[in-house]
Amino acid sequence: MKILICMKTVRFLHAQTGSDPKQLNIAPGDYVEMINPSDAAAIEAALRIKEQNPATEISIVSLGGASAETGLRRALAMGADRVNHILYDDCAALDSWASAAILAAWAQHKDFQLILCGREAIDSNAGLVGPYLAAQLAIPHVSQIINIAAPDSAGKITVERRLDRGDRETVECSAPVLLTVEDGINLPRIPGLAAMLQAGKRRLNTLGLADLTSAGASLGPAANRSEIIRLSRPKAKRRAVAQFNPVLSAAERAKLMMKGGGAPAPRPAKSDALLEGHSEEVLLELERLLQASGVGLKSRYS
Amino acid sequence: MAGANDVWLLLAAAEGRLGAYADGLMREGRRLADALEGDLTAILLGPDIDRLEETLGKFGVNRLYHQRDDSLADYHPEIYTALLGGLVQRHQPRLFLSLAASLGSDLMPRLAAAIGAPLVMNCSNIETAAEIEFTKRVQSGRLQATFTASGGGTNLATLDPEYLPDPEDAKRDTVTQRHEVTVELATIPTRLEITSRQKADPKTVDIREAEIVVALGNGVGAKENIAAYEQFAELIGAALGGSRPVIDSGVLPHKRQIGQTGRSISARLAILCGISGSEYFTKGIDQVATKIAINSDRDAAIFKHADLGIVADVNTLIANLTAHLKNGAKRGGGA
Repeated sequence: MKILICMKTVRFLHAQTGSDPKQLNIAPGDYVEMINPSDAAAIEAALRIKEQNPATEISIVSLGGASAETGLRRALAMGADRVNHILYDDCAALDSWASAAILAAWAQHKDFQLILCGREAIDSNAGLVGPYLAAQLAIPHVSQIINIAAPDSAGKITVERRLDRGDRETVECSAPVLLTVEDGINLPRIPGLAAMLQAGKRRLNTLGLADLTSAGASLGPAANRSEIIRLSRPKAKRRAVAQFNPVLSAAERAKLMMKGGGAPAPRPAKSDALLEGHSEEVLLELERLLQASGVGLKSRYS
Repeated sequence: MAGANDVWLLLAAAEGRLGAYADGLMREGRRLADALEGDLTAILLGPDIDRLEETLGKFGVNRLYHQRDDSLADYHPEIYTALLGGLVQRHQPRLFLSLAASLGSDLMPRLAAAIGAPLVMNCSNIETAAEIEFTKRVQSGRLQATFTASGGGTNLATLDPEYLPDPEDAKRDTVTQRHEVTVELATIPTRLEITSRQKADPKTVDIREAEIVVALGNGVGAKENIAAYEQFAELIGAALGGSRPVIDSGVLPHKRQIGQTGRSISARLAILCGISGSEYFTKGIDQVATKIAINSDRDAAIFKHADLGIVADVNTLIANLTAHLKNGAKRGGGA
């Protein structure tokens, strides 16, 4: 079986140590380049399939500038068989649709039975390249994957998905299929030094957009459907904040605080219904509220 | 009739009611529809809901498209995509919104690809200036980026529930017009087969994901009392959590701690047993829909946060309640 993993070497902002607020306090050293965590989980999942099925061939494709090479070499050291680098320097100018179009142009007609993508990149947080790639290749897509059973002889693939509230779902489909994998479902292996050194010597298969463009198809920013017009500081989550009168002195404000004066107004006692004791009445009221909240007692106890 | 400035919402229903955050989504939809000077349309797939139009009218929903089909109660990606894609392409709204929960995150990219529309996932805010501007968190929350979509047509977005407006009483008196949709579902080709769905087991589920939580505080007393709460939690299908003193005493593992130094829960129902209601704890229950507090101290701060407060000895009450519910279940089961 041929497995393809679409991998991104993310440029992740892990700190903001710069002194210029106009630059959003970003210093050049605040970025770290690494394999996107959920992509690493996808590579690990593929390697585990290969352990059970040695006939598996694992290919990796990565779209990006020169920095994508670091991630590709690490993937090689982890155990990938072939790595492909689509060299494009201005990936920031591509949206998810345009990126997926480039990957689709490369991947089509290559007969991958299983394509794995991470759930989302931790730098752009879009989570769209995977589903868009599946749509452009016209193959089925299953998202939020936490478990992949190695395909049976008929090519049927069974996967487990994570839904809301801890629920799970099992989905069956036949190859070819694209799966987007959650991070944290496995512990991606750390390659040993020898493997890293060996991977450093391997030649990567590097190609450009010109190698992919055929029959006048336009790849690149022309395929964009959205663009980023500005970056800013995140808006704080809604939270009640104490409002102080700025005219007051610090001492007066401190006094107010001790009295609770500057604090947000306490919520009015929400409970109109304050019951007391353990009478039958209280129990009935509780039962009613449990039922109103959809507690399914009878099904559990019949 | 539908107009090019309309805002559409995908509502979800669960167990005969609108799903979580539906009111926030409708409020946000109404705000955007007002700004765009268009109508607000809601879509619901699956079984009907009691007095649905009345509820939607209060939130200012002008139109409801509903396909009443029991098989739609469970989400199937390909069927939903085909059905909604057809509707959206026919009516061409300006915006199509859904929550960034499991369903929306899976469905919207499919829909965007199917109808060729731009999509921004997990928006924290949408503003209508000269163009519609979508803001979302990037770099895992360190920054936020504002997007615009190219071309006119329908724009798709999923909304981060954390940033939806606070619930308050809905006061509009819009008359919601209902349109029944009747798409022949059997004709939609499907390549995926959903073979089973497993409900989360409350005993093992991550407490942040639990639907019903029984939270224990210092008022519960000695360790020996915990067994009664475990029994009660099992009876109502709840996950057990605790405030910091309870966790520190070693009764429950740390991953079950609720509060500032523990986890924030977003349960539909939380029963708070013997919890005084310090701010460190209540930070963890902000997102809970219904809270029942039981405490022997009439002046306990927790009652300020509760939807129902009960002044009683919590151990006695829970023992009685467990017995009462078991009897009731037997009565109900035998009938």
